[in-house]
Amino acid sequence: APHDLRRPFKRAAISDQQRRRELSLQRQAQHRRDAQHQARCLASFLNPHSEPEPEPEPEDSPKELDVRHASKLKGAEARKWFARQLMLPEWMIDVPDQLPQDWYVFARPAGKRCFVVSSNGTTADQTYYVIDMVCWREYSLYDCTAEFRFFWLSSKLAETGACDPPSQYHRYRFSPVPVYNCDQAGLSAAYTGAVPYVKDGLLFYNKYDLFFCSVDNAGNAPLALVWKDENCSQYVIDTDSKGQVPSQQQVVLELQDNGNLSTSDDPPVVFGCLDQAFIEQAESRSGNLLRFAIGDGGLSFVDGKLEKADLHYLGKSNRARAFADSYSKVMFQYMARHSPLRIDDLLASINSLSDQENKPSDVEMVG
Amino acid sequence: MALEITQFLLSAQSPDANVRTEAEANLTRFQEQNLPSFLLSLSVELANDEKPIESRRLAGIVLKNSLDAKDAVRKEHLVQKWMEIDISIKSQIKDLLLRTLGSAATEARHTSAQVIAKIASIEIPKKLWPELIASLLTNMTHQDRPASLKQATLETLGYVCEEISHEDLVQDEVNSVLTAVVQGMNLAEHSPEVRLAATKALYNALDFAQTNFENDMERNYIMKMALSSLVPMLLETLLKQEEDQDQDDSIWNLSMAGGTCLGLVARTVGDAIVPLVMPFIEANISKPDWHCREAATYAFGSILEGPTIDKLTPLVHAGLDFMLKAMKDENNHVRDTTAWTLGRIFELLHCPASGFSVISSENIRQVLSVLMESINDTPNVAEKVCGAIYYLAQGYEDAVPSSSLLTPFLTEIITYLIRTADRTDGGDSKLRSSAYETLNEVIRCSNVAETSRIIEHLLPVIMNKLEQTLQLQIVSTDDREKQGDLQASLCGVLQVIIQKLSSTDETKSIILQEADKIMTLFLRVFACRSSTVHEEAMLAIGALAYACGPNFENYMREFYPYLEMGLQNFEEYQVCSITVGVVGDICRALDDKVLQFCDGIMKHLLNDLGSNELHRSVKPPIFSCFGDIALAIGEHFERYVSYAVTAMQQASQICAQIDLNDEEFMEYGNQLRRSIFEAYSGILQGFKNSKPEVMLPYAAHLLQFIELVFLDRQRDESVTKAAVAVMGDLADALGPNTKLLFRDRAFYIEFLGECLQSDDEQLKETATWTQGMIGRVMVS
Repeated sequence: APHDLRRPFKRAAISDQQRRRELSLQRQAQHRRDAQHQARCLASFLNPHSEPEPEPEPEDSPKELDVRHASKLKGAEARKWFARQLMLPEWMIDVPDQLPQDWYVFARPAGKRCFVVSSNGTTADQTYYVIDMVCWREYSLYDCTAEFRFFWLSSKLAETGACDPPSQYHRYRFSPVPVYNCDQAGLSAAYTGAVPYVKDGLLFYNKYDLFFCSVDNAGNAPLALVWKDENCSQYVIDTDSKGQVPSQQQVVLELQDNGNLSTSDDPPVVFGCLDQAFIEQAESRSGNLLRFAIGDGGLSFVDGKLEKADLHYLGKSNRARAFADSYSKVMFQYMARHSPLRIDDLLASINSLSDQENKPSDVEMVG
Repeated sequence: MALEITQFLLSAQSPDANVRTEAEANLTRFQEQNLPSFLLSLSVELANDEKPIESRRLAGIVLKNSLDAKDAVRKEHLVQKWMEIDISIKSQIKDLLLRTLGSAATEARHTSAQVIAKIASIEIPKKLWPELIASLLTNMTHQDRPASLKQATLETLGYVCEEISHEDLVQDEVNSVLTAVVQGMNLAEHSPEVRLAATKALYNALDFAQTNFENDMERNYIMKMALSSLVPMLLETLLKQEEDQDQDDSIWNLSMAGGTCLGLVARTVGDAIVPLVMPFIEANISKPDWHCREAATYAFGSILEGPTIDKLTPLVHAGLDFMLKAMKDENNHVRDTTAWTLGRIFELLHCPASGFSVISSENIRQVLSVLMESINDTPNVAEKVCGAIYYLAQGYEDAVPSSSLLTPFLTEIITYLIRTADRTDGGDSKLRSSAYETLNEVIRCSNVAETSRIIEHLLPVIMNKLEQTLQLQIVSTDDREKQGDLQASLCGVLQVIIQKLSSTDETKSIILQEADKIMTLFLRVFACRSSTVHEEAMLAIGALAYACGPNFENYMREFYPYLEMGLQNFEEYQVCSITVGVVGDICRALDDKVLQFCDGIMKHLLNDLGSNELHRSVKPPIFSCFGDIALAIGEHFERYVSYAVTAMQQASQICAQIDLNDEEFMEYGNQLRRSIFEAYSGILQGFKNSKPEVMLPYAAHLLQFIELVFLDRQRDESVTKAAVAVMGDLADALGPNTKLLFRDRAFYIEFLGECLQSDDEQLKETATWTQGMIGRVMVS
């Protein structure tokens, strides 16, 4: 019988049918991988530039949706869902312990914080400064620590060429921001160092937080904090809609069923209460966001807890607002007008920590 | 102790059935009552030159059959029996056999050689016959031994080498065996019979040279010494063609064997072949005798794989014009081989994406005009021309997205290929399927941005041709077969067109507009047969489902019966396998709308898994398909989960038992493990958002299986990836519930560590993600 070796004799080695089978298998394997990746995380189906639709009152809260379904949302519903996923930093009103050990710091780029979902090419030509990442390709980073996310972000952005100048294939340029350990050198670098973008304060990230922990309602320490002064931000004290700094601090609070005026925190912090007649007169209802000025009476505290606020009703808030102010934001603004937390306070906190670390042996010798 | 059994052995071959049956019964009784004495008696019979050759022959055969059987269980039994025989009797038998190698009767020597090899296969690995090799070698080294003994000894060595592994011998013995065999081939010393026996023995002993060939120095020396003698010999054989050899596929002759061997040598030695072959080519390529021209061309085509591009490029550049002219040679064989050689040149030396190609914008027009003219040549030449166009097109595949030099000629090429496919002088369907397969490659490798209009116009042409096959008059099974072949080719082209056009959003709409008509055609192709489904149509439907997405639901009611039929086709397992893949395509296309069909689909898939009849290669794709289904229907997979996971657990048990030394089985084991992990991944992710607790009872078993796979050092990297991914899915889907599990199976730390060290970026990325998922669980 002819040996198998004879087959190569003036024959093409491949069978096109076999090739078609193999190509089909490859295509199917690729699609299976894609489907599993999509299930593992946010996918790229969402078009960030789809036309805004009139905002419906959603029946059930989009918060309950999981990532996989959210990735299929469109328009306003999608924006709302993603807005909730953005980590809203709290404002720094106390210096946290262990700054150099547990925290990162970086200069916060001015501009809108947005959720960029990579999709198939868009039109504008601009640069995004990437301050965090919740998902990389098929990998959800939602639940990973900041330490891990920063490592991932810096290595992955560079690898993909996303930081390269815009091209036909990606019209945005992505740029990581330099992140420092929050020791004295790091804090100074973030505070004074030159960056290619307009600085708007400093952002502190706890190394061990998970992305969602900032909305943690268990009273834990906040895990992302923003702080600013006039050296590192043009907007230390909030301006009004005309860009002017109003003479009195303004706050936006949410009207509750019982007439309480509360912050966006979970649980909410109550700043005051409206009586029913006033509510009817202002044609307000539960859930409305209302704007107040803080009068000369200011804020009063008992045992570190807000007891009373001198609120003066200004009107309904701009419709574009999605949330009331947070407690920490109101407090930061209040302190900025009265007794701001200064960069020296932060540096001193770091120094006192390192002093403590270096000195115990001296103390013993003296003792 | 030996008994006289000559008469029994002769009677057992008697034409009288009664005599025969009685003798056989006597022999069997003897064998059962006293096996040692029986085997000894047979050996005595075989060794005795005074006995009739008929009884000796049967003695040898019965002896051999008492030591070896095809059935593994029976063989094991026979080996056991042999091992139980008293050592002194076994020694006597072995001596008698060795002595028989010197017998005057050729047939007795030959039989004895075979029996010795069977005993060697039992005893050598157990080190129970250490003196065998030495005693055989003695036969070879003594000048005074007769040629017949040497011939039988070489034959024995060959059989022994075939039966045992060189690892069963010490290296000295291996070297002695090889030396003895090679010396046996010596022209001056030995008769042709001895040399033939030595050459046959060498064929079996070649594996024994492995150790020598693992040593670079030794290997290079052997090959260099051999090369300068071997190549001229092979070139001589090329001139021994037969008339009309290209007309008949079943012909195998000396020139074909020589050319095939020359190609293998070129692949092995690389550049060194070129100076040994070029003088032959130059001397023969223009000679009046066609044998010389064909042999020269064939030699050139045969050495194109192996030598470096740098070595070959100048030769091919210099020779291309000559080749193109030779397409008009008066001799059909020369044109055939020339077209084949052009195909080899395009296959091996035309790679624009890597920056080298014999084709340039200056010569492409000329090359194509020669090919277009020659595609009208006789069918055998036209088929080779199709092959050349196939590789010419393939070269531009990776050049995309830059413009392809072929684009301006595409319409013309397609026209010629279709005309060739329509030819009726091909005899069989080979030319036609070559033309269509080449058309497929031309489409596949074209730059879709430049060619979508052309492909769009081709689509109705092919659909029309498929439509025509449905109107063919079918009288005989032969007609039916021809119709099926033609439909296969056309469905293949449609599959390629669908896949090409649905690869970009801009061109996908072309397919969507025609989808109704295309699907109707496929369904009618299915309807041509009653019991089986058409494999190529099934493949094409997978591509169509992907293109259509959720709209494919419209076709499901009509298509579903064929899907079921495909899933039940055990005999043509490729059809079953492809159908399983199509189920995956449909799941991804329809998403949760596939639910209404899942009861039936799952029933068939589970049946397939349980079937011994179905080829095992289909089983891994079925597990992967479970994952596809689960991902599509999410929590609704709950009603199948116990069946599916039970099957997956059983299969993982099988994986644990796979013999790692069997290469083919190892590959299967890798596929199986990968597919089981893919199934778990799909199921876990499918349940993640609604009912992850369904998978809790299976988590421990899965993790245990992952650990088992982790412990296998020989696992394939694709298995590693799937294992790491599923570990992340487990943590991701089941969350804090898996904390204790992971804590108890700390292997995952080492496993992740190993993956994070890998050079494979994808694997590292997956491992990092999994680390994050497990990390989240552990701090919860």
